[in-house]
Amino acid sequence: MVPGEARFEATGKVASQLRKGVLEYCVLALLRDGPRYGVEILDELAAVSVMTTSQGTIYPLLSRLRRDGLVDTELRESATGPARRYYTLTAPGRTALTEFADSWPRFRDGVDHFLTASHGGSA
Amino acid sequence: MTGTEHPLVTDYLATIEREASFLPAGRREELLADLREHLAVAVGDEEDPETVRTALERLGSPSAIVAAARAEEPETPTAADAPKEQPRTRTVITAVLLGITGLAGLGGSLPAVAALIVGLVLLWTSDAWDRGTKVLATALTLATPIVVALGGLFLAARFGPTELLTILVVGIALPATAAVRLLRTRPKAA
Repeated sequence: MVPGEARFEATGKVASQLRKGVLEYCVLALLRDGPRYGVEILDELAAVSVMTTSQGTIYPLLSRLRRDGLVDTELRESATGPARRYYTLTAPGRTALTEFADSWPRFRDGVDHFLTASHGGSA
Repeated sequence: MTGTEHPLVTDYLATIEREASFLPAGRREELLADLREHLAVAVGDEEDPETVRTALERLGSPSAIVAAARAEEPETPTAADAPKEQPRTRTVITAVLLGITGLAGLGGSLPAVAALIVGLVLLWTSDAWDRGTKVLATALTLATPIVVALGGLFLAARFGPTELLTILVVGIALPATAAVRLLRTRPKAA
């Protein structure tokens, strides 16, 4: 469809492995400043290409976050269209997000350390 | 007609419903409701097939969504993998029967023997304890009649309150120890 799509598909496995660990925290982070509805969350994620391939796969994730008590949902009437399900960060969700935000820089630096440093010995 | 009643949409949702048949009914309904709500917002009242198709494409293939739903399901061990866990009641009954054999002996030999036999049968026909635990529990329980018999035999000559008390304590304590041991044993891991 789009040039470069094939190349992206080729790196798909790595991307999907990485995504698996961080996607839910990106969703929690999106809710940090207030409730959002499903389509809104999906659009925000889609705006960053590495975060999602098909938007619909986010719904099972949102469903699990709800089951785990990290988010809450609420159906709100909309003036312009159908009712929308809003997702809100719960207190445990906020805690989980803070924990992730704390460990992420160390994790990232750790990976960078191996990717960039030369480990030839007496360098 | 609203967007979610468009034939392309109903086909799409029907495909997901079919492919997600492995999900618990509640979870499947929830997923379909989420997608239906999404499409109601994303497509709205639009009937142009191109718009609908674009919305569905962005949502992703049914199989990708179903795969994501599968990945989010907690891993439930299948019946074959799960260690057969003994009902807690059976563990308690076995332990109590064996544990009271010492006490029951005071009330008469018949209840004690009955408790002992039933308890031992329950113990040895169970998978919940390993062999070592079973042997230990049996030895501790059978020790009571032996202690009482030996006590009667050797101490009969000078059978005072101290001897009687010792035999009673030992006779009651040993089966009780076995009972505690049985209750504390964690179910044997498969």
